[in-house]
Amino acid sequence: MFDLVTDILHERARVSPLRRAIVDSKQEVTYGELSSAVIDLAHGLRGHGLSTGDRCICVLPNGVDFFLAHFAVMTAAGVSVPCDYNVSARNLEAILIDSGAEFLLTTSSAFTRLAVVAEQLKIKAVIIFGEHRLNNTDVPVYLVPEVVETGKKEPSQLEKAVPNDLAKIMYTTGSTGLPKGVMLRHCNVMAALKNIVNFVGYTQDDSELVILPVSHNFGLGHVYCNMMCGGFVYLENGLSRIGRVLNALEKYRITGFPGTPLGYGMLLERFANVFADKAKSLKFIVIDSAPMPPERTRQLQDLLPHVNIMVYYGLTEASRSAFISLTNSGPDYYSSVGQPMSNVVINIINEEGKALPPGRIGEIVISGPTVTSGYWNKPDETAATIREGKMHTGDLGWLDHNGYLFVTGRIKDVINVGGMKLNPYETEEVLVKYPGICDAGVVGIHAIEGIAGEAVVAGIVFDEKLGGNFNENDCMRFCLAQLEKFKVPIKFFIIDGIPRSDSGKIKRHEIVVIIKKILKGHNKIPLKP
Amino acid sequence: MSDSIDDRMKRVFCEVLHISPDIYSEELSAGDIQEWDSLGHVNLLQAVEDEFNIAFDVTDALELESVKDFLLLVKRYLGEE
Repeated sequence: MFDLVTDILHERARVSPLRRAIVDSKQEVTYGELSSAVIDLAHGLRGHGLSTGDRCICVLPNGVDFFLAHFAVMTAAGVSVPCDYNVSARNLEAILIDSGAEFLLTTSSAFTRLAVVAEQLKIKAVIIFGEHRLNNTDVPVYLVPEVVETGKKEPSQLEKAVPNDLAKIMYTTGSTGLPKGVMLRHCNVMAALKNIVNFVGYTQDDSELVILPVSHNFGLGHVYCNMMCGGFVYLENGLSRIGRVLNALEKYRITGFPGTPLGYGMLLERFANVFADKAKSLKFIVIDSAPMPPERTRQLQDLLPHVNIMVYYGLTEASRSAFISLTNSGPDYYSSVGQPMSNVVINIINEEGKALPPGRIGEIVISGPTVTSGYWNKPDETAATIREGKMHTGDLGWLDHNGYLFVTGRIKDVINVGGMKLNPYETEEVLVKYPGICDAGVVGIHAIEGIAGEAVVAGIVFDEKLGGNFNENDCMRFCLAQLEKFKVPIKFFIIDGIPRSDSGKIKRHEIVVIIKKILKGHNKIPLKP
Repeated sequence: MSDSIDDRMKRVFCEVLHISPDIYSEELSAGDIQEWDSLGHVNLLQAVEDEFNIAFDVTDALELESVKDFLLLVKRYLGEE
């Protein structure tokens, strides 16, 4: 029934057109309404010159419009390229150049920020969701109703994809700091979805509240799973409107609430009782993106004893490779990320590439139908990461005798901030442009009270003759103007020099040691810099 | 003369969210800018409580979505409504 990602919308609309599909704070749509709007927009996109396999970038916040855009691109046989709604102009430029995308689907508010990039790269069309249009731009800009009108005037035959066709390209942090596009075919996505649906046990009576960005695989996957089973999803953008999120939990009798350890940390620290009160319909919680500290899991389970708490391990390149129900497996496995999913094989290898026995730490290698075929336009990175169909994750871990996976760290430098991954190189590049900073080394530190996961901090070499007195706030603003927020250090430490290897590579573990020495006597970095 | 509640609130917001004063306004709401995300919101709650030496009731804290909400609530707690 479901061979393509688009089937989960259109097939569901055929079977249950009147069922509620997606709700956000402004609107809600049924499967029938969404499918019909998607098909209209897909005709419009073809009418505006979209050809099979063309890439289209979607820069939209969590909401119905994101799914209208995302499914319309794929229904028109294009390739959807979802980007974070707060994507910086610098990153969008890199993604536009790399993907060769000629269409940008976004809001007028985001386009105000990104117009200069779209103009420079002369993209074919910008399609605006919402009412306002920017007129002072050289790029052709259309409102959604105008695009739909074009499609109605000149309807085209919508070409149906096949399972091996590319469905989407998800950009993730690359080793040089520039984003790299993970190619996901319909068959990769559907293999992962079938595994998740089976493990979680989704039914059409489920409803999920998704606060995670749907421009990332984790949030997007949860919406897909619900649609596959005929449930519905309520979408919010993060937890900053916490009252609205918790009220929605109660009002829509939400049964699933995926999140990150960071998000659950905030709820438990500040709103535990009201969260428990509003979460009476909740049946399951899925945690991803970073290991949940066992103590936090215990706290969450005590607060919500009726809820099945699950954790999974995966990367954009190999979605949901291992899964575990912490509730069913018990406290002995609170540190595990689970057993391999159906058809997925997880091996631990040493530096020579030889498989290691249970209990030995090595690199986690994944193979199976969920693994990407590679990075768009990057044969060298693909060859370095995916060898003989096996994804070399760069993560370190070990398997126990029952096949449970435990993740212990990373070979690569990537820092994980509440599920958002950054390459420190990108932040360092920006930092050394700040007046007075001669060199910088960015690292992740596990030291923030109440927050699971890593916090980004920077060791900097600062020359007062060039920059005067170092002003942390000013430096943060400088970074925020060029980087997404999660890539900006929350604390700066002026140090004598950045330790480097003979080949010039930053020795990050040594920076961590230096910073920890500076912090000696201050076990925790205060949340408020 | 000590700073007014409005001035102090502006200073807390700019410091916690690392935004320049020209971005700050009473209409600014959670999620309007990337700096005011989930973590930014939790930090704001704590920083505003510290600045004004108050503790928000959970029910009140849930309703805080904009600068204006913060100002009105703090003024109510300080009896300056």
